Amino acid sequence: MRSSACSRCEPLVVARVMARARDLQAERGGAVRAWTLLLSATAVITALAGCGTPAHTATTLVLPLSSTSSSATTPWASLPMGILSQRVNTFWELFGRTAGRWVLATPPGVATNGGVVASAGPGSSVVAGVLPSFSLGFSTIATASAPGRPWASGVLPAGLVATPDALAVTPSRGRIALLTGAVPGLVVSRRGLSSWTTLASDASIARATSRQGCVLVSPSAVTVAPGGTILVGGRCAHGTRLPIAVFKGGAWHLVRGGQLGGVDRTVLRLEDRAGGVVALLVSAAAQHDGVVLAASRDGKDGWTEGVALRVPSGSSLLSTSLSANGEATIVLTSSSGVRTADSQHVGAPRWSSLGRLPSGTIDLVPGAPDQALAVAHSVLLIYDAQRGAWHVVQRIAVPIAYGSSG
Amino acid sequence: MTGMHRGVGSGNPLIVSAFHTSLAHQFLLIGVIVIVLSLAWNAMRAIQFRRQSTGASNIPAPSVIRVAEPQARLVLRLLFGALWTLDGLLQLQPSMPIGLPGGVLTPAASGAPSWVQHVVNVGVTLWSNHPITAAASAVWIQLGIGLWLLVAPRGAWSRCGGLVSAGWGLVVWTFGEALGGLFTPGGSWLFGLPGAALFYVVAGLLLALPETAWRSVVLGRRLLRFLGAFFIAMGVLQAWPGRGTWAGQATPRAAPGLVTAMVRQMAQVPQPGVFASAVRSFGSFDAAHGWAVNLFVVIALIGVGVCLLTGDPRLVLIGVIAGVVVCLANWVLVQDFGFFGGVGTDPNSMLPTSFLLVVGYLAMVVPAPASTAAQVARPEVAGRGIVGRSPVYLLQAAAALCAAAVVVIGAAPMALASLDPHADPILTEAINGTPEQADFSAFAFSLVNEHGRRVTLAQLRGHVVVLTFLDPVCTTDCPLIAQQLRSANDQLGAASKHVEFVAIDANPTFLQTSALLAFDRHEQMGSMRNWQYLTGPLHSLNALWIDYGVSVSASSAGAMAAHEDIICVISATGKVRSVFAADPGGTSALGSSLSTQVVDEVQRVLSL
Repeated sequence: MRSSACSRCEPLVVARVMARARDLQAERGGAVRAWTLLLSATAVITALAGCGTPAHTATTLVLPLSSTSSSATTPWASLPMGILSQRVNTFWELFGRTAGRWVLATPPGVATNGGVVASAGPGSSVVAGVLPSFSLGFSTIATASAPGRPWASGVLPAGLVATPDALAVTPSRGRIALLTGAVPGLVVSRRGLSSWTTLASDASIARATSRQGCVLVSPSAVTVAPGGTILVGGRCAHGTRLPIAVFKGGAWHLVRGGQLGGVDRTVLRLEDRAGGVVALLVSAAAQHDGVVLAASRDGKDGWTEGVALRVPSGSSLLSTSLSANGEATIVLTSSSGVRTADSQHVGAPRWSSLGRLPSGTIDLVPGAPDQALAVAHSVLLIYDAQRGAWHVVQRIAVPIAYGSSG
Repeated sequence: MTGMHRGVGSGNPLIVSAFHTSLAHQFLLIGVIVIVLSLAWNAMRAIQFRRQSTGASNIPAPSVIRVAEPQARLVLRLLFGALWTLDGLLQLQPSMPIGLPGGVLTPAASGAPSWVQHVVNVGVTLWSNHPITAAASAVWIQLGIGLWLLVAPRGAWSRCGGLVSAGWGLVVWTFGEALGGLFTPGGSWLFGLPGAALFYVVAGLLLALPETAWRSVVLGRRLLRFLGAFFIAMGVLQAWPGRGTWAGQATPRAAPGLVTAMVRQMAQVPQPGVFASAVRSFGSFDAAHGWAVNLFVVIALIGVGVCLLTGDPRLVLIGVIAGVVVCLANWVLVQDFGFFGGVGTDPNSMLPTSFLLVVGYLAMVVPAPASTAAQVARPEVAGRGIVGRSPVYLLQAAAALCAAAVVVIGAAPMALASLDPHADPILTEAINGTPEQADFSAFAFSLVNEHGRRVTLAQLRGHVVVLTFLDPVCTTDCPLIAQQLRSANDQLGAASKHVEFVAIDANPTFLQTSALLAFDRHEQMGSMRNWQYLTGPLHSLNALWIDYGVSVSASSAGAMAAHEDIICVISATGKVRSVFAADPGGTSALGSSLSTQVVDEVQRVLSL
């Protein structure tokens, strides 16, 4: 029962009571909601914290571009110089050896920050391709008759694949190139350096080889076997055969011989050398599966493989060389920067260690004597192995235009 | 010179001068608005006075029943008003127009998932394309919001200010703080997670609540519980193993832990020596005792959180005091005040967190005086119509209107700029200088285009010719210049039919048309009906290079051919009317700015 005196304040009393009731309800509910909120927030934070956990990274195969390619008379070496930790200040230089002396022979007129690939041609000649970099989306190509001679230049319709043997010369002085781009594939030029026709796309090679025990994908090396037969090496998407295909009778066929035993290897080098075709295959898990030298007399069949060289843990492949007589040499660098080399002759049972190389060595050119090419920023040091020690026999200061690409 | 493209420095005098000019213009406009509103207020007071004195009105004399603004709301409003004002003043720093995208926005998003980077990139692009407009807008928007919160204590004006504050806070949190780093690995409460602007948003939303919400202790309790849950969650995150928060620096050569690295980075920011010294000292301490420091932080965060969650006034008070102390210590020793270095935009998250703690406590323990619904809804109504309001209300309304106008003066140009996808020409002028107006006969040429057809300057009479020199195998500038010429052609629209874009080969090694065609194909220049890329014998090109003052040199050792980047605009009568450097710079904004400048110059020459 309420007094009449209080009748006017009834709405206010009701409002206060209702407000207090809401407060109490809110407090009780609030406590529950607060803990719910806390649990939800913790769950969200837990999920966020998980975002920062580093994922396991898959081993990726880094194919070294540094290489030498040798004809019977002239070795050509492609090396990165400058400030190697900065892409804009890393310039790839091409050197050729003539009359026992190395000379700078980088094709002019185009920036080489993306890399240079070279293929030794007949005599002392070379054909060199410059990989795209920064805003340039296609490759240039140039040829010279000998180190130090003038270049003739042209352009490719797309960018070259970034591997040492992406370019090859046919006996009739035609050129073959492996291209990346929208329609990656193999192009040939029978005359000139700017008129190219597509011989095969990557997809057509994969299709053609899909029922032969190895779907050959990502072509990475091309060469021309004796008789003008074109060979392409890549990796097997499926299958265990040697990932090399030969273009014969207007169709692609996998070469015969060689079994990789299920190991995923990529053909890094593929060249026609004296006595046959040699291939250097590397695996993404080089520490386990190693580097393998394979060879065939005619390139089509009878391929045989040597014993794999296991890359020591923590080391990586820095460069590859193939001499005119088929000797393969690889340079390894350890995590502490120590450079070592191993080589193998075609037909030899196993790799032989060439020991420790001079500091900064990038490439080793097999021969008599072996020569180590070491880079110190803009200076190339050429070492000879004499009586068990390395001696600088030549020094080339390269006039690098730092900053010109950035 | 090709390959030597530059960026605009954050202290570029042209940009800084333009920024100051823009601010001055907008300040004058605000001055006009202040004068108009003052006159309006004066007029209303005059009308009120006349009506009262003549008795012509039946409006009763102002006898306003004033209900005090809830204390917690008052404190929140004033503190965040002051914070926004400080933020607005920080935006006045001369390096803001150019420095903010690269110094704040992009780093905030680095490491975030790509979708976050895409979102942030919208803001980065807008700011980079229109740096003067954006920087000036940020100044006025933030000063306007600060002023708005400070001068509008009650009613719809004040709540509207809260909403605007929350809205702009959300913009800053999204684009300026990359969603507060919530999705970036390595985030920590110590560094500002979940983003300072999120606290501004919370504060803005609280201010936008009806005033009745502040008259109950529930709001304060809820706010403190929310903060309690937040502190505990941050404590759990801080304690999470494998995130680098527990590590100091075991040896001088070892990689420092997350906190040590952050503190050392902050110590390197330009600032008074005493602050740098304090931060450096704490960095050394954390390097030596990283585990203990993190343990303290974890315990402090969880302890504060638990105290706030209990709802017990004494424990809450302890939690609030401890929270504020920890926040301030973190603000000084880890966040290094947050605003040094030239592009600091706010004092980071610790001040707003502390403010919310204090406000939550006040709202919980200092209940607002009771009031009737009518008083709360229309607290100062003393008559009908605007002239029936009290003088104080009118003054506050005029001040709030002025603050809103400041916000609009800032926001409107930015909104307009966001509709223009092309960058302002001032960017390219900052590195290339202003176009040189000329009036001499263009040097004639007779060359072949990429399709092998002969082209002479005389054939192009009747068209405005945009002439430049490009290297077909250039890896840096030339493709970018070509892209900007294509963009300029698109921007010209129907006027492009009166314009021919002509490039002349600038590489003495690659003279063959196949190289030009390859360039065209890659840069998609074939889609331009009025594009021609010309080459010819080296002696002809040499002569042209000399005529137009372009020095071209073939380089050895892997460098590209060097040449100057210039553009000449030739009138339909064959006169060179404009010459300007055409370094496209190293950013898309600079490139876009170049295309805008080409369009401006072509339109100027077309109108001659």
